[in-house]
Amino acid sequence: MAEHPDLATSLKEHRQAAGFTQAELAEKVAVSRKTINTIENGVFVPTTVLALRLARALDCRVEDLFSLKN
Amino acid sequence: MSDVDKLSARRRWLLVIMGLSFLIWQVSDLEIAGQAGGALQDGISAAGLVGALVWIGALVALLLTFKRGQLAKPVRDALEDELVRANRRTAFAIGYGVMIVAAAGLFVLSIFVDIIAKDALNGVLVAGIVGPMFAFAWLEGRGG
Repeated sequence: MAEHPDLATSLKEHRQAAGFTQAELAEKVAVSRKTINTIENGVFVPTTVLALRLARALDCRVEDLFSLKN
Repeated sequence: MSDVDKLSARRRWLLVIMGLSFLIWQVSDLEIAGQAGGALQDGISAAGLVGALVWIGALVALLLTFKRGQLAKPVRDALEDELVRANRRTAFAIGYGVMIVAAAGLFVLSIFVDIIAKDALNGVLVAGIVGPMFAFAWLEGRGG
């Protein structure tokens, strides 16, 4: 999925608050560190399944990680 | 750099090497290249041979590095995660576009000059193969 102009993400803030590095979070959700990096930078929009996995790993809701800009 | 990052970078570079060597190999095989004659012809033939050998070497390296069963499951999963699959889909779409542009370009060129059919087909084939390889390598390079 390509970058979406309407999507805002706070994955980085939540990851750092949880005390994880990109590599540690990537390992927890079975993706590469690069995938986490591209999501944090808004280059890649994850699927619903990965978004749910990320929310579970960071003990928050998907809506906490991703939201619409407007 | 983790194992996944290293393997991902290796895959990217192997694809670039394979794309370039395939391009050199196929260009040297064009009928029009065969009309060069003399020392230039020898040089083109030698470059083509080197290109073919490098392509075979890179293909073997790619197959050996990513041989099924050789990598641990977490590493395999990370190397084929949804970003990689999305990049692959985008690369094929870009490759299709490159192939259409190549075909259209050759069609327009054929209005003005005679083009050998084998060379035209070779050009379209190379665009369709090398385009996705370079596109995938570029897409995989994003995100560091």
